[in-house]
Amino acid sequence: MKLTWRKRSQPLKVEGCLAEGAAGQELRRKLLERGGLQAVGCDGIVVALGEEPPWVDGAVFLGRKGKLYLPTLWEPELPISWIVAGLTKLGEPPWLLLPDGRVLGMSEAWVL
Amino acid sequence: MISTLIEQCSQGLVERRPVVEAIVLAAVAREHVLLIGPPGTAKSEAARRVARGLGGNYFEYLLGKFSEPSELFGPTDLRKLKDGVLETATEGMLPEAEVAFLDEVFAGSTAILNTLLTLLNERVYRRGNTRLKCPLRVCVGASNSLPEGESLAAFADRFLVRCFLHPVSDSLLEEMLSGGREKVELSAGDLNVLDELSTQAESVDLKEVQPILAQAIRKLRREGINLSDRRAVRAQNLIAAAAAISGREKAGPEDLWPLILAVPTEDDQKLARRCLRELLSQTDNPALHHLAEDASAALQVRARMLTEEGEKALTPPVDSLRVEGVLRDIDANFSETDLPAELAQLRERLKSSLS
Repeated sequence: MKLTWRKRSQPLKVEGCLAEGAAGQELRRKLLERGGLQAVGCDGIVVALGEEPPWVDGAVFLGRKGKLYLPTLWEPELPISWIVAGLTKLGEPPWLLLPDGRVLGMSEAWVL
Repeated sequence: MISTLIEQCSQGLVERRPVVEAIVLAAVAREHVLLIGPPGTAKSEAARRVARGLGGNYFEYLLGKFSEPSELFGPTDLRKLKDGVLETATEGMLPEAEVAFLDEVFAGSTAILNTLLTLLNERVYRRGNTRLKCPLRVCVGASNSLPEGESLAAFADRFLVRCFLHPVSDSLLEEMLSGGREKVELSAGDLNVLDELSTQAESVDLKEVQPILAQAIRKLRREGINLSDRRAVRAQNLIAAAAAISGREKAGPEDLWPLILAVPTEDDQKLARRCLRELLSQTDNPALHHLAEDASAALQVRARMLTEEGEKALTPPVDSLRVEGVLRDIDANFSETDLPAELAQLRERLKSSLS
């Protein structure tokens, strides 16, 4: 089943950010420079977790709903508990879910 | 004019701008404000600054169990008492104040609270032969907590606007420490400005907003939120004041947000914000945007706040982390397509300041 998304009427509180490509490299540079935040990265994607992640142009800011990290501005059109139930077999929570369908496990995030 | 006053009064008072805005809103609406919060949360400082900014006579008092009525209302006029007339010398006391701040307002004796009740409600002071029409525009009461007894609840109900204060957030402690040492020069305001706005508020047309207000009250009742009929009716004064401050002759959905401030408890205010979110989504106010954003979390007022924060962040010396903070808030709250033009331009300027 394809998961559809809608714009949130109320953006989530920032709990992290994701950046890819050049923005990802810039985020990685800032994270290494500043330290103290949890981060995870793979395949050119860098995710920083925390209430005040560095800003880079083109980053997607993330909020949290239970065991899921989601873009602050978007929400899936399915109950979160259903999605979590479906994701549980993929590994340990929390997970990051993106509107393009990608799911990233965040349990491996480490403190820089 | 009101925006400048609010800006000046809030200078150096971290996270207290909504309180300053609430006092101004109440003053325009001719209603009273109750500030609930632990000691040392700048309740009296906020009230003092707004009093200075608005102009007029200011009276401030810390009530206690042993406070005498004369300490608030004035002593008995002894010369007249010799002639058998019981009159109060009210000069410089609460009955002649235009703005008042009463700390620990529920600690007063029954005699004080009964007299206060009439003064707040009818703006009349009565004792013996003294019957005085009081010029009080707004009374700000403060307390650590809401009273629990029924007897005090009736008195507390006279304070329509409720603000709940907490110590400054961890992330803003540095700002609070430096702001606390700033010397704020406030020039005394002209009470006529406030009075003109109050007059405009009285003539604001509420016809368009009343059905939406009724709908909002029904929603609150369904959620079990206690909002008495009296508070619901008087909330219209706040809505009219919000419209007048925005320069509108007719109140619309953008002015409904002060209803949240009339909800009497902190927990119910939180619940009311959630259940009225859709109804309050059109909220806007150019002068009271911090308070309106607190009440409604609407994007228009959030955009105004971010614009203000962004302009401040660009004032030299520019702190890149502060600029990043504003950019983060802009990107987390607005998609590219929803970004208002003014905020989009500011975003570009903020970006350039980092390069």
